[in-house]
Amino acid sequence: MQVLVVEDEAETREFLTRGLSEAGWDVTVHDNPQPALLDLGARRFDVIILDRMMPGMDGLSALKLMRGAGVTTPVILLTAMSGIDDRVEGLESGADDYLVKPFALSELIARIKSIARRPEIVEEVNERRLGSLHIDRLARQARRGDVVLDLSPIEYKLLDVIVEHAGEVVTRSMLLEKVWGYRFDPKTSLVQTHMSRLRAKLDKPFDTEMIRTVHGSGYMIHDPD
Amino acid sequence: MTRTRVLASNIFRRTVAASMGYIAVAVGLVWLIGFIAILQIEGEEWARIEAEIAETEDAFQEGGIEAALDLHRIGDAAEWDDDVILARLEEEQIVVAIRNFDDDVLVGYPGLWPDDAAELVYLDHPTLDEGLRAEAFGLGDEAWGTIALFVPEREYYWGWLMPQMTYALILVGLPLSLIIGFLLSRGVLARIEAISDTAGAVVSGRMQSRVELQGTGDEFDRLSSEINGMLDKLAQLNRNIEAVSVGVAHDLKTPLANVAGRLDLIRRDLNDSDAAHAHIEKAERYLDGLLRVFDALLRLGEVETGRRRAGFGQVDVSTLAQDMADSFAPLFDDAQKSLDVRVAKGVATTGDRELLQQLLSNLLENAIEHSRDAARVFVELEQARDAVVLRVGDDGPGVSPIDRARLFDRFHRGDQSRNTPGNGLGLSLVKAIAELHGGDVTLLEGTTGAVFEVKIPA
Repeated sequence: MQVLVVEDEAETREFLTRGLSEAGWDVTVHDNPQPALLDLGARRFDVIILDRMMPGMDGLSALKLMRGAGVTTPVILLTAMSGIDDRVEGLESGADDYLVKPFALSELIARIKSIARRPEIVEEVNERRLGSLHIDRLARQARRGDVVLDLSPIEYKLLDVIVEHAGEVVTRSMLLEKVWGYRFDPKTSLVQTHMSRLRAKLDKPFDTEMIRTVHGSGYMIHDPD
Repeated sequence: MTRTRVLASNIFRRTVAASMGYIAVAVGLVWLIGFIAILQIEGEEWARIEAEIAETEDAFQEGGIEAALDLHRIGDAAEWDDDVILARLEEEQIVVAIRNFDDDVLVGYPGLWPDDAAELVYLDHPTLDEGLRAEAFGLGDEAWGTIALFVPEREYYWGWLMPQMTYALILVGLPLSLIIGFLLSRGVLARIEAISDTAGAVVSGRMQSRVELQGTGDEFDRLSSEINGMLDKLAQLNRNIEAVSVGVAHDLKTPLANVAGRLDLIRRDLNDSDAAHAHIEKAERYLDGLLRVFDALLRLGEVETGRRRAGFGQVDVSTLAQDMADSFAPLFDDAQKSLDVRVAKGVATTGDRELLQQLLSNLLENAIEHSRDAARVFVELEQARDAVVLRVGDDGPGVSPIDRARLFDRFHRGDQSRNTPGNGLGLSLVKAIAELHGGDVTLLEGTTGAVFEVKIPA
C-alpha cells in the first residue's frame, strides 16, 4: 500500500515513517504540502496522512486544493486540537478521518486499514457472515452455528461493528465512536466491560475464540475454523 | 503618576463652559423681559394719549372748540407756564398744546411741538429734559393739538438698566462660575484620583489595594465598589490559576518521575526482553494518565470559553440518559454496585449532545469510583416546570463538609493522598458543562448519600 505522509514536525515524521514502513507499507514523506501536491499529480496513493497545522500552506488548504483537483484518495487529518468545531471543519473540507495528537501508532494503522479498504459507496447489507457466525441485520440477531446469541443491544452493535471490520484491528476509540457515538474517552473500562460480556456469550460456550485482544491497540474478530 | 491639575481638568472646563452658557442665557432673558415690559408700557402710554385725544374730540363734537379748550384750561390763562409743567410731571404726566392754524397757542404749553420723525419729543422748557411721547390731532378746521405723555421709564430701561444688568451678570457671574467650577472640579477630581490611585497601586503590584468608599452611596461609591468587586474577582481568578498551576505541576510531576524511573529500568533490563516490555507498558500507562489530564484541561478550557455554544441543537435527553445508563449498567455490576434508572420520557433541551454525554458519563464514573462498597446508585431524569433535572446519587455516607465546599474545584480530590483514581477534573467539567447550558450542578443537602443535581433550562 502506498502511503503519503505530509507532516512538518520532524519527530512525528520519523515516528510515522518508521511505524508505517514496519507495517509493510510504502511510505512517501514530505515536510510541507507543495511537493506532496506535485507527487499526487505524478502517481497514485492509497491513503494520505496530512498534518493540519503546518507553516506556509496549512493542511486544510492543501486538502481543499487536492479535493478541488479531483484527488479522491482517502485522507486522515492529524491535529493537535480536539475541539468539535475543528473536527467538523476538517471533515467538511473533505477529510475521511480525524486523529488528535498524540495518538498511538496502532490507532493510526487501524484507521488507515479501515479507511483504505472502505468502498466508494457504502452499501447497507442485510446480513454479515464470518465462518459459522451469522448476523441478521434486519432482525438484529446473531447466531453462531445453530445457537442464537442472547445479546444486549450494545453487545449486538459491538459485534456488528467488529464483524464489519473482520480481520482488522478495531481500536477502543473507534468502538467508542461507532458503537456509542462518544467523541470523548470515558476513563472507566466501558469498552472492555461490554467486550468481555460479548465474549462470554460469543466465545465461551464454544471451543474456539473468534475475538482476539490485540495487545495495546484493540480487538480483532476472525474466523477460527 | 502625574496628578490632573484642577484648571486643566475636563470637569472644570465643562463647568466653566456651562456657567458661560447660563450667563449668556440670563443676559438674553433680561433683554427679552425688558423688551416685553417696554412693549407693555408703550401700549399703556398709547392708550392714555388716545383716551385724552378722544376726550378732547368728544368735547369738541358736543360743545365746539371752547368746550375742547375748557377741558385743558388751567386757571384763567390760556397758556401753561413752566411751573404747570413741573406739577404735571409729578401728577398727571400729560402735557397738551392746542393751536390754531397760525400756530398761536389757544390752550396748553407753548413749548410742546409734535415731531413726526422721533419717538420722543422734548419740551422747550428751561429746566426739564424729560422725553415725552406725543401725538397730534385735529379739531375740525379751527385748531389742531398735540397731546404728550412723560415717558421716563423707557429711557430708564434701555439706556441704563439693561446694560447695567448685563455688566452685573458678567462681572458677578463669571468669577462666580470660575470659583464654583474650581470647587466642584476639585471635589470630583479628588474622588477620581482616589480610584485612579488604586488602579495605579494594583498595576504596580499592590494587589490588595481597594478604593475607599465615602459611605454616601453616590455614583462614585457605586463605581468604587464595582471596581473593588472587579479587583476581588480578579484576585480570586488569580488564586484559582495559581491553584490550578500547582495542581497541574503536582499531577504531572509524579507520573513524569515514574516514566523516568521506568526508562532507567528499561536501560538496566535491556537484556531481559520480558522485563523491558513490562516497564514500557507501565510507562505508557503513566503517560496515558498524563495525557488524560491535559485532555480534561483542554476540554474544560474549550467549554469555559463558550465556543461550543455555537453548535447547540435539540437534544433528546431521555434517550441519551437511558442509553448511557444501559451502557454503564454492566460497569456497576462488575463493581458489585447497582444502578437504579428512573428516566422520564420525552425530556429534551437545547444543547451540545456530546458534552451532555460527557456530563452524565463523568457523574456516573464519579458514582462508581467514590460510592461505598455494594452501593446502590441511582440516576434520575425528570422534566421540572422549566428545567431539565438530572440527579445521580448513592446511598453512602455522603460528602464531608470540608470536601463539599471545594467539590467542584479543579484538582480537588476527596482523598488527599491521591491514591484513588481520577484527576480531580471530572466534577469541574460537569460544572462547566452545566453552566455552558445556562444551568448549574449542586450537591443536594440533607439527602442520604451524595446526590448531584444538574438543572438545565428546558
